[in-house]
Amino acid sequence: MSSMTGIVPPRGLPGAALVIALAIAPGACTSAGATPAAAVGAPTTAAGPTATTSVAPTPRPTEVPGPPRASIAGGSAGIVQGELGAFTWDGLGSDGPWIVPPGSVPVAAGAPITVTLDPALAPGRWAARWAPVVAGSAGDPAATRSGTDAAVTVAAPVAPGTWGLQVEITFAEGRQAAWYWSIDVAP
Amino acid sequence: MNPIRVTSSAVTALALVAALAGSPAPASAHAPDPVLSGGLFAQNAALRYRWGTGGTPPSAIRTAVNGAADDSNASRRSKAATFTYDSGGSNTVYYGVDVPCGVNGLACFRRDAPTWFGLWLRENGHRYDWGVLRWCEMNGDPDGCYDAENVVLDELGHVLGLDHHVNYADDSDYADAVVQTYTHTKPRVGWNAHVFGRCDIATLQQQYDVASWSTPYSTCLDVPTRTTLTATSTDVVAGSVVTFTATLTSAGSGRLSNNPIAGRVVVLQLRSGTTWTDFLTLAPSVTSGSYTGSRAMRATGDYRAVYRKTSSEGVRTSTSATVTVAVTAGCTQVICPQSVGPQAP
Repeated sequence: MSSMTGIVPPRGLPGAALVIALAIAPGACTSAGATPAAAVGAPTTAAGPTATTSVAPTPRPTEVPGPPRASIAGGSAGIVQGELGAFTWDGLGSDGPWIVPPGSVPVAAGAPITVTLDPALAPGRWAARWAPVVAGSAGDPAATRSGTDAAVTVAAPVAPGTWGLQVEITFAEGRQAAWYWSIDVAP
Repeated sequence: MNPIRVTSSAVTALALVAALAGSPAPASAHAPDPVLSGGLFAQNAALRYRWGTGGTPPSAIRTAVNGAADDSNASRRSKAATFTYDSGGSNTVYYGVDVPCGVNGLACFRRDAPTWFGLWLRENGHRYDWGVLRWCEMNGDPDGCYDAENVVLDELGHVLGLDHHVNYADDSDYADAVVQTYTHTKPRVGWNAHVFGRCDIATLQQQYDVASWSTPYSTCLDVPTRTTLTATSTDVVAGSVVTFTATLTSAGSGRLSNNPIAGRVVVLQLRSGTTWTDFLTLAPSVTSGSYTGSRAMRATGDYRAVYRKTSSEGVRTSTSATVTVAVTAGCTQVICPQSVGPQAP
């Protein structure tokens, strides 16, 4: 059994991660959040294409590349890693909800926030969405910024409260991924 | 992880950028779903799936998966591949703990078109950092549950080559696609959609072609059409019957170019002064995309055929070139010039 079918970040460009400027306040650099591209195994016997017809079985690689990790730097929480949501990546894809991570990032109203990707990959198109969080769930998006420039930029909402932030990036070759944060905007 | 530490001066610069960059909404909103890389399955390919070894879903999820396969087959409106359960199938659907869906995935897929696909669903009760997975089909449909049939339909859309739909900024068009970046829970809009949305269908039609020449084009498309008109004769004696034949074809790109468009309404118009008025509704002929009608001619006139776009599909209006039918007075001779040809004395 057991070749693991893990999703791992692709080997990226050398050096520092790409900065996606979403506007931030300076702060200590700590890391939080779940590993977005953690390896989750599936037994080959369970998930592989064990052929019983004339179609030749397709060998499953033991490891496939996945989206990079994304982090924001903002407020007093420093650098906070996002939760990876849906993605499509080289023939593999996953679907999930709008994730509201349990740990919120305190950010000043209207403050700029920055996102880094690790490994650094150049976005082809990006969109950042804010949705109000009520009772732990995100509502419909209330604001969206999007663009095609390498530096993705938005500012935190002005209205106080807890907001869900989704950053969705489309990369070359049709690769796409979305990451989520929970943001607390102080009154 | 190797993040860049952002300095205060950098923050100032970035804040300026933040004020200037970005646009209100994705420009491609309401377009057909993007297309995944990696190729397609053959038109109308019959993809048979079985339950993965050790990953057979519980009954309620099996029903949901098979329901989603039926949903896809019934709502594709294209020659996209179909899905059918077959215990000997070469494609697999797996339910359980060991799934390659990342830490937060509800379900995931792998596609190796045109050969194989796999689909995985996370087990009911799975605990994420942010909550517990409840499949509606296994929990009596409480608010906050995920509809497995909807989620599997989303995955099957991916298998067929659809990428996540690009929504309006406020997601007001969420119902236009099942293949979404994030899944809605009950009771939010689209949570239990069991047919492909119009922008899913649009891409399936672009990639695989419409199911038949009479299949409506998705309203998420805006396909140009081309109408032509011919007459059996353009120089006749009064009282002669002339048959008009119009052809209606698609003038889009790729699969949607030069398709006969059948089963629509094509009208023959007659010019009166500077005004065109409907003269005759042409009937579909045995040839797909052709429409015919006949009339006894009384006077010289200019004719054209018009296909008018309807709100129920995504094609454009088109008008043919003008065909002039010259009518001369009826002859009283035994043999009229028109009936023996131009060389007749």
